[in-house]
Amino acid sequence: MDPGWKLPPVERMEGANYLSLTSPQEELPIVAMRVLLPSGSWDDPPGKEGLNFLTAQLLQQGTRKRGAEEIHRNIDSLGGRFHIDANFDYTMVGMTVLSEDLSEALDLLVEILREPAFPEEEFLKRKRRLLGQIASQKDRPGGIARAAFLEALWGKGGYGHDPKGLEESVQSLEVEDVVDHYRRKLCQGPSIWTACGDVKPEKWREMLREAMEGWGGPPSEGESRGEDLPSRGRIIASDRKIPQATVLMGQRSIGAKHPDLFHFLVMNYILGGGGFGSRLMDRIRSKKGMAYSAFSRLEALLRGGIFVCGFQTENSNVREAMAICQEEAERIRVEPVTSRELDEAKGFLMGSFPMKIDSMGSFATNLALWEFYGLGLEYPFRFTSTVAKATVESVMETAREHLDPGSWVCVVVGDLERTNIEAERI
Amino acid sequence: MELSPFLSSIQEARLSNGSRSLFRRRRGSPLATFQVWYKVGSRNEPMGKSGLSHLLEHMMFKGTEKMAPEEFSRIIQAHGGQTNAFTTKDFTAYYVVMAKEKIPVAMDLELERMTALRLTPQDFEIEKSVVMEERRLRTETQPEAHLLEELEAIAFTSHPYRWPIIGWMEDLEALTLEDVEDHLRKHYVPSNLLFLGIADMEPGEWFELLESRFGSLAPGKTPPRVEVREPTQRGERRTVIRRKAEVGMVAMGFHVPQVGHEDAMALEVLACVLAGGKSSRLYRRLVQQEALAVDVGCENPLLSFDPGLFTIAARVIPGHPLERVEHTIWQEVEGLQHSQIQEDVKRAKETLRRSLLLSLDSLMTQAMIIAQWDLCAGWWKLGDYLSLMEEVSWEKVREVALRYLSRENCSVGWLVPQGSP
Repeated sequence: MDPGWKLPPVERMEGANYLSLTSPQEELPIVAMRVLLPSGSWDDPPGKEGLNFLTAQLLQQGTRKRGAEEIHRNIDSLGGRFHIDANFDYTMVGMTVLSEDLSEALDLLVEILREPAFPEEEFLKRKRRLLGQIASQKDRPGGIARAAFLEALWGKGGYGHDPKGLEESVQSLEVEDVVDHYRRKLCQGPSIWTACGDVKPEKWREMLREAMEGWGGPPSEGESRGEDLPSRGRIIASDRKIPQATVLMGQRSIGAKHPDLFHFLVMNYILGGGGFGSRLMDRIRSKKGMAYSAFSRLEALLRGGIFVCGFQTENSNVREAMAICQEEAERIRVEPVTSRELDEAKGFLMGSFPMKIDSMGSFATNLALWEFYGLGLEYPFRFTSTVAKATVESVMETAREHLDPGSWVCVVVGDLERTNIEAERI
Repeated sequence: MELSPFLSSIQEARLSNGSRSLFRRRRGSPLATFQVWYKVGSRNEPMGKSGLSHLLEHMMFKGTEKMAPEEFSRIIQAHGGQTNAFTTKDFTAYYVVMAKEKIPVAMDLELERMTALRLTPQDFEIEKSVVMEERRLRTETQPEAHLLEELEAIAFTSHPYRWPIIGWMEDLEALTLEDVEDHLRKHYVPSNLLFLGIADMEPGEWFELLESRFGSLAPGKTPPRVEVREPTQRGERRTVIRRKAEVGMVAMGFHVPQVGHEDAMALEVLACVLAGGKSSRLYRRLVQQEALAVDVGCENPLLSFDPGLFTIAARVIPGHPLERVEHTIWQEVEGLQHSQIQEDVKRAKETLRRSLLLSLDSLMTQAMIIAQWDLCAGWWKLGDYLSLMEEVSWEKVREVALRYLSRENCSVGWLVPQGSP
């Protein structure tokens, strides 16, 4: 099926321990670069949750040639568009620069990745700051709910903790842990490099080949695994005297490589992923005025997925809004969706795809992710043609196969006296 | 890279009814954006009616005789597009991003709600309740947002910038459907808006699409001007919020002029010297060297209709006294006022220049930059941004730091954590 738009040309090159994807485009003299390293919080050893995150953040805190302040000065002089995102499955380092700065930026990026020094003093300061960031998450009801939800679904390992880690585990980290994680895991696996924008593929290839000479090796396997938790309905709650409760409900779900992924996204659009086009938003916000936002979402990861419904509402509405989420999840399993709902979902999912590649930055990020999750450059077209084939029946089958509202974990953060729910306290 | 190629691709036109329209051709892009910016925000609300502009923004999605509530969004999404709106202190903007071939659909829907919006008491009550939930979500359950709201409330004494865009809860409770209808009639008129488009199509074709739909609408009366001028602050003001929280915050606000004033560009550079990037003075000292703060930020309200608040805010790592963080901020500010800061200024100007150029990567950022510059100063003034900034000397930055970052022009807010939440 013709999606009505074209993916800009992408050049693919495989090196000894890396893969490069380049998409030259000339609208603006800007280049977005991304490096995806196959190491995430899944690889945090038990008791050392947060290790991958802290190691990744310390990459910019000093190399064998430059101190932290010099690196920061160099980054700012290139426009300051630099980030390190350490997620569940991977760590992505990104820079967007003017094309005139490309060579300098690539040198800096490679030095940060290849020659970090991990000075003890920087380690201690960054650790203290990370503990502050973790504490800060506890000031947000959404942060508290998310942490409890992940742990309830996955236990202590695997996807059971935020990539930033836990207060007690981060407290226990030593600089030796960081050095070891870097050597053993973070910068060992096959990296994925992408560059989009005003870049000449030939020159990029040459620069990268030189930069990557002799780097990396076979990574050791991560030891962490999610616990095999029994799937059963649980309500967990944290009592806070605040005027609004935050609620997350859901279950473990399918991962990025699952064959039903695209059909799941169609179903989820109708249930709660399609904003005002979705049932949860329609009932909880548009009809009842009980929440600013009500949603359902699939986070499709490498070793599985997280399916979550959520909303925030005045404490006394919690029971009713939770019941609506459960009812709608049950209804989509047993009742056919309407043809209008199906057409809207397909129209959005197929038509909005170009938004993922609208800027050089988002294109570079998505190219790396498609490769990492095994979706490949054909992904946009495979996605579009699969979504086009979705039917009322396939939506119901997908829901029946992958939604089990009876087994959901529900997390409530709010004033429990006013929510009037019975729950395990945290 | 310079801005001139970007600016030369912007075209301006007036529709027959006088409505202003800007368009930029973005070659090679399958996506386009169509936006309507009204010159009305929380600044235009009468005392006691805070949140009115934002509530009206919500009501614009509640449908017409032909269109059910939220149908606008559903139709745009069904065509593969995204739509939303936002309200600021100065304006309210509605936007759609979708395939350029589908843009006429968005224009038709916009015309429909512009001319036939249906406001019912039932929808009004539901939406008011949604906005109250939004306020609980964004402010009442967020200690830091609570502090920043209080800071503005003490920094301004009579200008409407003192109340929050989302409105005080008590004001929201008291707002009526008649208030919304009145606000709509006064401010949502073709003479008070800007149409903005970015797409890969001929400008003439774009303006024709607009003219054929909106050109014949009556221009309407020019809305009343906001005449309030904030009195000069004559002494330090303080607010202390004690809430259950883990992380404390120190926030400081200083009254400063906006774009068009001779000090505005130097203030822009000053904000970057203080907290723009990790090599800035405050970041280096508070986060990098002394590890007192989780992070620190500084904002200069350059693109604003009236003089705004230059803010510095630091989130304090648990265990450190807020006094120490505030004292350190003052040390840096006052140190800068009496130092040779050539290198800092040179770095800041380079960071700002590159940062602006790099922000043009995204369709939405392009639109935001064009519209905000246009409404606050005239879009063509963006062309002067880099050259005016280049002319800012380090002595001028020091001079504006001395003039505006004084204790008597300062409002300070502390968020003092009270044990575990």
